[in-house]
Amino acid sequence: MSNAINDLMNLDPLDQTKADIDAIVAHHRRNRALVDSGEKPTKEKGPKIDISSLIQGLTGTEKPKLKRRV
Amino acid sequence: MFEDEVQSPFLPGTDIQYAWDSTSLGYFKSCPRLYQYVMIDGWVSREESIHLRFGQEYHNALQYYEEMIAEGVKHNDAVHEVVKGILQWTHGWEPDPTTKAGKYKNRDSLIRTVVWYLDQYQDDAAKTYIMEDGSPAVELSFRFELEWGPTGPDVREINDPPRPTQPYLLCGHLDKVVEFSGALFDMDHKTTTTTPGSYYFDQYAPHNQMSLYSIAAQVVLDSPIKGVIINVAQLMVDTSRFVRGFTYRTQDQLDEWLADLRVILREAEAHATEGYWPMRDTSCSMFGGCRFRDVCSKSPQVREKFLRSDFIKQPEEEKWNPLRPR
Repeated sequence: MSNAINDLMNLDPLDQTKADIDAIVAHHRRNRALVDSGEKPTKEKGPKIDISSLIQGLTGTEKPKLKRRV
Repeated sequence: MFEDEVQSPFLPGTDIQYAWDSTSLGYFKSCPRLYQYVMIDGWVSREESIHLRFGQEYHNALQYYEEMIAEGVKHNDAVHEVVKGILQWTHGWEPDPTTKAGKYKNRDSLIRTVVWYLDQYQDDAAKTYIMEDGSPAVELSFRFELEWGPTGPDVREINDPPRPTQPYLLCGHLDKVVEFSGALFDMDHKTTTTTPGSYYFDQYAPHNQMSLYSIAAQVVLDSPIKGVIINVAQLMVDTSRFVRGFTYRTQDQLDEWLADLRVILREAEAHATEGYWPMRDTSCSMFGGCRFRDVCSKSPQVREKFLRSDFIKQPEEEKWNPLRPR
């Protein structure tokens, strides 16, 4: 599910406009058309998260640096 | 009617159930212990509550659409209103996405499945049956008496007045009755995360719910019903697909089902009177494994502890009750 659609879905129902609902319906119809044509439905990926610092915190070790191959 | 005023399906002061639906009957037929855990004690798993909620909302959405179409609302406007309705009904519902149930059954997959289903079957060859009063035959609640009832507990004193006899009731909700190829069919919506191939549809003949619903549709419409069209929505992570299957019932098969029911309900009453619900250990692995299998595999002394850690005990008013209106 795209982030924008996710945000629209999570709005308070009292704040949802006709255009918001139309956008949600259109998103699902677009995805259905993609699936029917053999493609994958759209999916917006979230921002990349660097988890190396989290691992470092858990294990107390530093992530080994990649060595350049000569 | 207020929720807490719903009548109990059990004879007063006993565990003898007189009002049965396909769900409670299915539990008992599968395993008396499963029936005890769910119907008598009220244990439900966390994942099960996701399946139940998803199923209810899916049915509500399709019913809402049918009602609008019957009133002359155009398809696109009805779809818009249905989605608006789902967003309101499910606001704040956040199934745990780390569970298998939550991964496949959530608000997004609910809206997707409803929109895709309604678009795919916009010009459905199976036409919703319109009843004499002009209303569409969708979400029809039924409740009818059988010709016999439980014997009941033998607690009468010699001078007590005769006990009123309570016949057994069969109750439930038909999703929809349709006209297809010149015959009437009950139509039942199912959702699954497995692939609905021929193996999937084979499970519906014979099948407790489909036989009961064929009988119920005949009673409600006072007309012969050919069988049940099973409308399956297969839920995957990013897509949904829909498959239809048919299961037919002859009148002789339905009569046989009712004859069997008499024996089965007598058996249920006997267990209730004894206060003991034996385990049917040949059923534990059916349908991907019973949800209570891990509990039943433990020694009896520690089972309660495992039940408490893995299940939620519902209060009396939330337990599954065939008499609760939808």
